[in-house]
Amino acid sequence: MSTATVDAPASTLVKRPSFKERYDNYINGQWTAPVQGKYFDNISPTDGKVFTQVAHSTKEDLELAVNAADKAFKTWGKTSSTERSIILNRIADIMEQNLEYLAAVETIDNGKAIRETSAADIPLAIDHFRYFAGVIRAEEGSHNELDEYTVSLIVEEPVGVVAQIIPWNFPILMAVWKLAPALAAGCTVVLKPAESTPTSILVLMELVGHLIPPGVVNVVNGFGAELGRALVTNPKVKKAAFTGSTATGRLVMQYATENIIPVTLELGGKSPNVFFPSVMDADDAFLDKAIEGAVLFALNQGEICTCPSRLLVHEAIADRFVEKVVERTEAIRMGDPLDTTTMMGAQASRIQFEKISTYLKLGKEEGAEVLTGGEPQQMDGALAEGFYIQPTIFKGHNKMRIFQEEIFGPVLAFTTFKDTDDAVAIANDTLYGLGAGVWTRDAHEIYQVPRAIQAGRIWINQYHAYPAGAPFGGYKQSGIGRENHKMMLSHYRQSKNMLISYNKNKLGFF
Amino acid sequence: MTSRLDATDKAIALIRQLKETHGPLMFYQAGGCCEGTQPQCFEKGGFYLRMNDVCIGTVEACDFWVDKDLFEYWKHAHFTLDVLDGFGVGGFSLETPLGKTFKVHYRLFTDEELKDLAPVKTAE
Repeated sequence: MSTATVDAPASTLVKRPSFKERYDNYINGQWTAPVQGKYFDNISPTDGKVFTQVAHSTKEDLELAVNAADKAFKTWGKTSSTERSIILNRIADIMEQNLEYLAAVETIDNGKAIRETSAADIPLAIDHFRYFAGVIRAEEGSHNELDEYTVSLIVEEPVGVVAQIIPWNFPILMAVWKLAPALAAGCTVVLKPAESTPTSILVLMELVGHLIPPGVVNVVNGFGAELGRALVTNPKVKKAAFTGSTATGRLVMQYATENIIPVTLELGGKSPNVFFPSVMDADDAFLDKAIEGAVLFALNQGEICTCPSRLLVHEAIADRFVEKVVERTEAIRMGDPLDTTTMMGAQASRIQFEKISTYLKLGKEEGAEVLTGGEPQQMDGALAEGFYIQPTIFKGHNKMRIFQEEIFGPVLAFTTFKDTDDAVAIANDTLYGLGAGVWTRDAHEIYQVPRAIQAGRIWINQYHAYPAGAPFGGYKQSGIGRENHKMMLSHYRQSKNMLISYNKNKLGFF
Repeated sequence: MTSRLDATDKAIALIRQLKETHGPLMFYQAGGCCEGTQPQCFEKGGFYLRMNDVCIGTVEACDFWVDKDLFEYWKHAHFTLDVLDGFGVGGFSLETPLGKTFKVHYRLFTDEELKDLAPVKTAE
């Protein structure tokens, strides 16, 4: 690993944005102090220091937010798709005008490198609003003449107030994945950001809040332990969306049984990234791309539910291929996340840093071989107290804990396979089914292997692309629902069937 | 007999503090992203167990349950429940508003210990 802290030219450093001393909740279009007046510190993982405070909310604050959302729904739910589309496009435009600022804010809040927030997080969020602004303009309901006298109309109606609980790995982007379809469908929202990354969404609301009618989007900060149950079981909440762990996801489902409301859940994975022998048939651009594809485990410091955290390579090419993967991994430049030349930033919190460190120790105890990395990364100067981990590659077997548990860090578990059946068996030997990668030059493998892998998203000859319009969600214990696609609209809607008779004659029963 | 679960003094002190506020407690550990594979502390009975989930022991009269699928990978390790200062992985665990996070330290059992492990109970 090279570190960019000391030797980076000043010109590559993005200016650190300034923050307010504290941020209130955003309720009913107003910045609203928490009822009990408490706040908690928000620490930047880049340097381990407090950079602002946010509201430590209680049930009273949720009540205000849900009531505001419920009131707003009475008018927002009746707006035309044209009106909603225009607003979503305006939000996207303002975000685009402030892309550099939002990217820097996200880097301070989450710790990831500015290169990624500038090129992925914020641009994808912008496009997400535009995608949903577009699709709702082209939608039509259905009319079906069931017989000469009977017509069935299907009208899609928004469910109402929705509760959205957001993870900390892509604070703005994951909020937008949930916000954009909900607003497009005509729902109003109470959104709870993650407690370790609560600020960037508030900064986004500072920029775009005035574009949205009061009460349509409400942001309440605080802790899941104090807010989760009250939010999901509030009788005015008609749907819940959550991204996080399986235990918490099951708890959200459990709470949703109280008022029988639907849930969508995205609960993580342990995604296999499978490389077949033909990958090394030529030393060309495709091989170069494939090597990068294996190293994408380090994107976002590995804090992605679809992190390609299991590397499966055919034994015929394993040694040669992995040597190149190690070499490329060792070229990852760690450094100040605000430096545009930094390739990998800080883990999102001290606790996450500690968790990854535990797995580094565990992998060694289990007998896995460290091919590179394997330790926390001590940075210099201002970053010395930040939460940095070396990108790490372990060699082992699929029954090891580092192959089965989602580490959510830059830790790759590598093993080999003998043939296609073996590859598929190992790929599917996991509790999860969120993502997978398949790399090959063989036309048959390109179709047959992805069909055999039990996962909601299979990338073929690429990885970590998230364009709006490509549905994203999990098989098995990875969750319920498909985000990032117009089909998500159906999760925020009820289908109403109007069944009309044009026959003047009675049935004849009575 | 070798126990599967112990707790540090700090963890015990925090459990006692949480009991004063919330009454009887339970722990549950499963997988997934963000707070996945972290021990989660809930009010006793507040989490709906899966059939055949495994209780690996108790701390301060709180059952420590683990997901039945992951127990297959965790049954070879001793768990020491500890506490870290700070929060950040998310989830609904009760200690986080206090600025604390429960954490497990693992130690693989020796061959000798594996022969004489404490029995587990399963959810029915």
